[in-house]
Amino acid sequence: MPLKPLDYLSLWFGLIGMTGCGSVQDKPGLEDVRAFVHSREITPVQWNRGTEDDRAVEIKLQAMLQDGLTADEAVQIALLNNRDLQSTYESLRIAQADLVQAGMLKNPVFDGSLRFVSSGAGQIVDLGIALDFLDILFIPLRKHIAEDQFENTKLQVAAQVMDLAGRVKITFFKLQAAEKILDIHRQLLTSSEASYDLSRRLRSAGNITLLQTARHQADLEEAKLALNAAEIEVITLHEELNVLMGFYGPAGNWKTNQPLPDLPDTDIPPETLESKALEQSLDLKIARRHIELSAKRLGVTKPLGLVSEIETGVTAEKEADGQWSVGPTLAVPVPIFSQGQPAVAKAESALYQALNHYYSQAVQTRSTVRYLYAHLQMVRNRAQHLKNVILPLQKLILDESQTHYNAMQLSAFDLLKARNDELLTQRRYVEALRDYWIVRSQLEQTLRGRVPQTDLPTVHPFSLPVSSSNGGH
Amino acid sequence: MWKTLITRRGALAGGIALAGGAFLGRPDQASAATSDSHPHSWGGSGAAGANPDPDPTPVPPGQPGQDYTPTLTPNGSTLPYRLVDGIKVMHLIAEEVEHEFAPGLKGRCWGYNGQVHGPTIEVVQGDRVRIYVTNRLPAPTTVHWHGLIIPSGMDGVGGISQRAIQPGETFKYEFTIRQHGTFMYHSHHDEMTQIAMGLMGMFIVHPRNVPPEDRPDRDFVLLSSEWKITPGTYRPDPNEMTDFNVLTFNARAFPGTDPLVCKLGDKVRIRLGNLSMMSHHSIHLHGYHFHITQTDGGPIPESARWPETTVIVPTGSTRTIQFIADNPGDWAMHCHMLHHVMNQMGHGLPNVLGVNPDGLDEKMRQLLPNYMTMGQTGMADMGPMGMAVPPNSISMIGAQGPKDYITMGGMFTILKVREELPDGQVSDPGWYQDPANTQAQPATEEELRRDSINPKR
Repeated sequence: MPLKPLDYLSLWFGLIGMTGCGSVQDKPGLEDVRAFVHSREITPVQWNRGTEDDRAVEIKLQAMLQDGLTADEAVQIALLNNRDLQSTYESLRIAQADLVQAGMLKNPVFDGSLRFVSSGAGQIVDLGIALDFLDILFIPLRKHIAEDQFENTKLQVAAQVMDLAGRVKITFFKLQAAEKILDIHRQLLTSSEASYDLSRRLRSAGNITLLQTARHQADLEEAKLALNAAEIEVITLHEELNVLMGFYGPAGNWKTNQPLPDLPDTDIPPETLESKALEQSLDLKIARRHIELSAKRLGVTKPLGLVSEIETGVTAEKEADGQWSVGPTLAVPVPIFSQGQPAVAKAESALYQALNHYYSQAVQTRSTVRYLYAHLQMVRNRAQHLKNVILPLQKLILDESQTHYNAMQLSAFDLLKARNDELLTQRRYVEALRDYWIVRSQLEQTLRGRVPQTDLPTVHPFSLPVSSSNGGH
Repeated sequence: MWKTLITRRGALAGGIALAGGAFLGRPDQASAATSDSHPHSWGGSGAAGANPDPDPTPVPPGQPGQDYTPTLTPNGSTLPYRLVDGIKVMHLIAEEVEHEFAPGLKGRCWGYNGQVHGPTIEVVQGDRVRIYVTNRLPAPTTVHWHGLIIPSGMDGVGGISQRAIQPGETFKYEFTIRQHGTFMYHSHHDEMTQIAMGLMGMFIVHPRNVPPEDRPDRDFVLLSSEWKITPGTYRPDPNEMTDFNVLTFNARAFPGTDPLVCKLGDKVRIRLGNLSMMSHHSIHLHGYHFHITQTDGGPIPESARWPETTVIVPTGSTRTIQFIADNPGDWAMHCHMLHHVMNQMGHGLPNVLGVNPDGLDEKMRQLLPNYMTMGQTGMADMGPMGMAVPPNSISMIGAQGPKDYITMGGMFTILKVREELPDGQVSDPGWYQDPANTQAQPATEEELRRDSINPKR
């Protein structure tokens, strides 16, 4: 007995039912991102979508601003408040939506026509429903690919979180250093003012020439310019942090509440740094996924190249005489003109690209670790030398100069110059200390899995080409 | 034309007395031997140098006390001698010496016999001396006998008279003294270094047969020299040519100089030598007029003696002065080149005199907590300030006197003349007690009124 029309329909809807539906979640993947990032000591991860959570975040932010910011607080604020990061979180939802979409069958196409017989004897109704048969077969594969994509997106979002945290930390160190340097320049200005003051008094007593006074004044004016530059540096870094933390208006008037920390007693131990970096590397994880994805796509593309869709359906027709006829339909493209070789070639190349990218990323990761570690030792040595040898020496020179001044062998100008030399050495120490913390931060970031920007050559940025994993629609 | 100097025979005869000091009122006996009665005569040292052999019958060596009043070298000593066959034998050892210029300032110098300057050599005209010189310096040296008429080969000029005494060697100088007066001895090899380091001393020759009543009661010896010692260093710098900062009598700077002590009425002779590297000195004595009676060329005839309160002693010369100490008190005696009476001054400073420091010190102390403006009213307050100074330095240091701080240093000493002085005392008798009404005091209101002086005018 041929199947009744209704049987076909129910069979067909049954098939649809088999595939199951997913729904797009509210904050998909956030927990995974949070867990990933937390394992690398970065918190908090908060995705604001206009809920009560956001209010709690606001209150927390206000509390942190009260007594000045520490470096960690600045990182937390940026992770909570940076809108760029928030928009990055949305890509999680987008990817998850893709995942849901991948699990869905393409909607069947319903077409219907109504023809009126010219003789007026009735209407011919033509109904058809067709769906892509291969779609059903490819759903698991598509879901698999979309899942990979979603995982990849989570990794990339985690990478963005880590990058932001790293950048905030480094900018904060720079700000702390710039504030200390500003203070040093204020003292240098006071010193120049004192020199000039003394020279004016000497001039008014008739004891030195206008030429000598003018030279002292020139020094004073240069000191003012140097102070000016130091002030601009602080303002610039302050605003950089405002951008990263998402502050404007009165909220942007925060102060730092601690100076740059001293050199720590112990440093990152050198053992197994490279292997740790490789293990933790987000960049390599992402690159590995790219390879897997490319391979899978290649696997899918080859057969898809030949036959990208097979349409099956049911068609029903009502003749003019009122008779319904129902039956199946099948549509198959015949691969005469195209066996899909270009698509395959593309997919193949994409795979090789992913392989090479992985390799070069690994090279860069290892090299960055070695470079940063060596650089860290050098900067530590420099900071220690300045602090333990050169600064005490400058202090000795100043103290001895004071005794020679007391014995009237040196002038007050010589004494002020000794003090200026000490202040300039302090400045060099602050810069070395800042550089230490920046390089250390970069090394820690590399060991957490994200290669920061350094002077080393960068790897070409890479992302998988947008795939036509399943035809149009 | 040429007059020989006194020979031993002549000295024995006693006929010709080259008396040392012609004190005020005493007839001159000095001119008789060394100059002609003819006014345009030439001097001359005679053929003494050409006769190196000792006389077969030497003159008995002169004895201190017996034949002469022994000299006093404040802060110094006299070189002892031993008599060997009538010859005075002495030993000079040239060596490195750690020497104190004044309390608070020491230097690694070169001296003789453990002292800087070397001990005073004191002999009598006619004596034969044999001086052994041992060199314990790291460099070769010689000794030149400044002003003495001796054989050319004994003159001590390195390269000309002799080869230099190498480190470790001992040379023998021997000659007969044929004159009297105030002379010196010093290195004559690499003098720029060795004299700058202190290798010098005085050489006194007393005339023979001076009656005791014509001898001085006090006979002082002062040798001037100059040094460059940067505050905070420990060795004089012999390369300095112009900027000397430590000026000394007998290698001592005030307040390190011992006073010259005598009793009221004493016949006082002061022999001044100058072996400063580059400077002459105008030595000024307060409280007295004196006469310059000798140079290192010999006695000055009485009629030619120059009355002075200040005698200029060129470098490389001696000048001997004499006076009767008839004015009691504490009398400053110092070089009147006024930078020579300030210890270790710095010369590269801006002139701070007259600067108003109000408000400046507070600003400076923000950067330099121990800063204080100094010198805006001169140097008088520098001494007692007690500020932290480089170690081993005495910049601008003077001494606390009986009435106020003495703002002097360097080439400065004090002649202390006392009515009462235990016999033979040469040590410091303390400060002079001014009799009533002989001291400058603040004028009282009464006095100002009485004499119509208006200080506010």
